[in-house]
Amino acid sequence: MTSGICTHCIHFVNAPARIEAMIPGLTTMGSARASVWGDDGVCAALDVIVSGRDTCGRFTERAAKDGR
Amino acid sequence: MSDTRSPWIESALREDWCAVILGLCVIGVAYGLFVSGGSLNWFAVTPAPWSTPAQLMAQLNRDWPRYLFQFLGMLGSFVLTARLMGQRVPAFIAGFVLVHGLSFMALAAGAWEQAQLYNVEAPLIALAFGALLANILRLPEPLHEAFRVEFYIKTGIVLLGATLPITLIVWAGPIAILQASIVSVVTFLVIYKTAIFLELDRKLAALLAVGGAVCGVSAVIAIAGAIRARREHLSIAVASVVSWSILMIFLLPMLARAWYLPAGVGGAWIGTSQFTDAAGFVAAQTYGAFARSGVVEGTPDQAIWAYTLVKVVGRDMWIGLWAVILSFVALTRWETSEVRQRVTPGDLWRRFPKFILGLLAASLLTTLASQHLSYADFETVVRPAFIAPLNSLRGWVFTFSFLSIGLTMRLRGLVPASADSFIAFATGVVVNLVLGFVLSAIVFQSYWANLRR
Repeated sequence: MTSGICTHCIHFVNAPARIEAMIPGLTTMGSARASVWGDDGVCAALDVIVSGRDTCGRFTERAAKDGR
Repeated sequence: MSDTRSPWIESALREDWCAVILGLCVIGVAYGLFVSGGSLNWFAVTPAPWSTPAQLMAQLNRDWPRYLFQFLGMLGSFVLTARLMGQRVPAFIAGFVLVHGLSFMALAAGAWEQAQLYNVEAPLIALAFGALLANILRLPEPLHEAFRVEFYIKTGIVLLGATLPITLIVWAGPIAILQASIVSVVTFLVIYKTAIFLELDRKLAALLAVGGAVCGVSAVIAIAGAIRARREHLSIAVASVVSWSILMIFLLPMLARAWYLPAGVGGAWIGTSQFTDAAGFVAAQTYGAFARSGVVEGTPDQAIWAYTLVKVVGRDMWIGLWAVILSFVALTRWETSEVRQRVTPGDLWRRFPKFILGLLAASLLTTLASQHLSYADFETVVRPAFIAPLNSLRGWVFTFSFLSIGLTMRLRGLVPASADSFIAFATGVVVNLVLGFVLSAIVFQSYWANLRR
């Protein structure tokens, strides 16, 4: 069962450009495109860094055309 | 990225793999030319030492076709990888023109006789150019597409692999891992315990601790995801690492020079006590220049090799392990958020900094390709025709990275750390500096001072 995981949630942000805009100073000596991110992203609802495989009670299915 | 891409393709398009592919392709082309009797030297042009503006202009008049061809070749390669990584290509092209032009100016300024006399090296000049420009002018946002500090440094590290013999990695790697592990564990515990004593949040304490102990911003990123940290805490830890890394660029070479540490020893200390790869390479190259000018013993290569062994092999490689351990601790002892998470052994691979595989592959391939040659043949045949152009191209790519640090550096824009988080991190920095010095300059001094091909 994978439908309820963060990667399919409307609150999950993993587009590198958006992450870099959300974290001041990240690009000075880091990158949102690096392997160390794994499948992580930012949960816009909880303001927490989460894995795309996580689950939580606030899950809201993202329509296929929605951006991240 | 598009939702239709498989996880495998998304992973393959991360900048680490793009840096590995690009770096190995360049090495492959250089090797192909070498075995067919040619060399990449014509393409890998850099400003030669000059004393008067007339000499520099004469160089430019003579070499401009080489610079033009090089620029177009690099532009094509980086645009291709930018496209693969889903970046905006027109914006990247505009930004890259600026990056390449300013890097040429920095390399030319660094080749000035007076600059070399006072050890004002191209890495520091590039950093200063970038910082001045970014803080005096407000550069258009689209240009930032090409200010990819991490991508350039990872590509440069793969190229560096071709000049770092695998035999040296096998010989000194275990010492590098031992030294880095001792310092990492001690620094982590010092920062974490100090932060907890000062009643900081446990997850913020962990982020500050890995930022100071393991590998700077990359470690902070990996651990933030592993422990499900708050974004605000990630920002504070990033700001702490960036601020201290900038300070260490100047402090570490200055202290090492004050004690006349041999180049390899200075490089090992920088690898142990600097936080981020790019900032560490600025410091290590600066220290290597002291060796070139005879201020300290050793060679510039020794400073870079020792730095790479301790920082990349000794510290960066273990990010995944730290992430899995802290993820397990967070899950079993700290977890308070409503997010339900799992820890799997696969996280070790998922968070592994893949560019290290490029470094090792480049090192292994070039060592195997030259193993049948004597040392004398290597120095007279392989080095000038195969290694030298790769060194020049590495110099260019590193300069892009150092310039990009400056171009993205806005200290006022960083999230201010509280007094408590500053104290916790600073305590770890002091312990790290002292322990790094003892291990590099006393305990393992004979290894680092005698790194040889």
